[in-house]
Amino acid sequence: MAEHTTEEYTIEDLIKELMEDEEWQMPMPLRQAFVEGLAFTLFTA
Amino acid sequence: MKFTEEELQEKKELILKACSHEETEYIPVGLAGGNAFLDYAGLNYFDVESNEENYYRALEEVLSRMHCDFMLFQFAGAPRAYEALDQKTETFLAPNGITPQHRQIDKMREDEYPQLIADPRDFVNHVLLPRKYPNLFGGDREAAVKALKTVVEERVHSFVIGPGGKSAKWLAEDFGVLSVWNMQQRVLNPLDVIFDHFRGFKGTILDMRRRPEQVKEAADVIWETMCDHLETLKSTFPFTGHVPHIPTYLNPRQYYKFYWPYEKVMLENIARQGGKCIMSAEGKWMKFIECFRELPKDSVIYLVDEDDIFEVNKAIGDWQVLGGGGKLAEMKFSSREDNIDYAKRVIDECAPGGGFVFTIEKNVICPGDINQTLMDVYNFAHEYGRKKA
Repeated sequence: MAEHTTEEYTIEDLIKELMEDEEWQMPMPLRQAFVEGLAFTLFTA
Repeated sequence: MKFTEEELQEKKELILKACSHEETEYIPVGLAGGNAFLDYAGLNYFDVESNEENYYRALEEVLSRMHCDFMLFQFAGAPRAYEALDQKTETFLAPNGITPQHRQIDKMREDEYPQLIADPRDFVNHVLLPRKYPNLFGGDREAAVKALKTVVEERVHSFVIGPGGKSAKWLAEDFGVLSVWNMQQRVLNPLDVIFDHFRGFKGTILDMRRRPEQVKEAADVIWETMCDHLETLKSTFPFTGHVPHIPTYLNPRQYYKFYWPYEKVMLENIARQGGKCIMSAEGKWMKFIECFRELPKDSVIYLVDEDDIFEVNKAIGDWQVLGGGGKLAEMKFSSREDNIDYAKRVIDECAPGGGFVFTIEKNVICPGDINQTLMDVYNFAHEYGRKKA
């Protein structure tokens, strides 16, 4: 397994927080679909 | 709405016929449209990103003046994400607010192949992302969440107004332009993933010589974990898109070892389901062009870039669909007559019998890419192509 850095949180933690933020998603439900692919988005951006 | 559903359906059927080596009433003409539309309309990205009227005007200024049957279209730029991510993204908008720019950041070190091979997702998520975005993972979680919300909001907004939504509707119904490129379904070759996102140009080319076994093993793992093999297509039209990057830098031995095995599987899967791949064959491919004869006929729409299209036509023009006839740089720096003469010759030699679409070889993304010569050539190709298809 890759050596983990000393951050308090990982990309998975951040994605989970966004996925659970229903108030933020409500105006535009499409946001959830884009959050699901966020790690790849950040990697390739 | 100026184009009825029936008219759009007829155009779709014409494009499909042309891409199946059938003769058609006229040759489809199209291009990879982009930020040059903004410049032609006297706008920049910020003028259109949240202004539908300006967005529409940017399309209208060009498409009211030139014939176009199909496009891969997108206004590129994610300036808010760029700032939210501390300017660490590799693609960003130039200061002119028009030209998309790309810089390659080598994220992975040469001695990290074992980590990539062991678990690609873990390696990306827990090593490369923090390396690429140190501030994002620097400890301020609230700021990180806020930054990511900006990234997502901008992408959703661009999708809704862009090729996934409104602009596709405007292009079709008001200008008769069909999208032929499925943005949600694309060929992704594992060696391109290593080239574009892990080791970069220099790293990948060196690694194929110094540690070929590791490169092959990494490609195999990426193939299994990160690439859609396209065994089940969501749709066959628009076509499955592909922008291969590394092949032009490979010799035939490298191409057939590191690239083609995966490529062939995906292209055959697409064809098996009645689909086609539309491919921007960047650079030069003549050194291994015969590989396209291993595939089912008319399974690839091969958009010629730097190769001599007449040589490509001799090699595979009877077997796969070719796209070409215009050259972006020539349209900026050579005469209208020279460009029309070239277009005429390409149509005369490549179009008879079907299996040809008229395109230029590059995306129109910079100021000046859309100009009167380009529009004249496209209008000429549409009219001249009525006799040749």
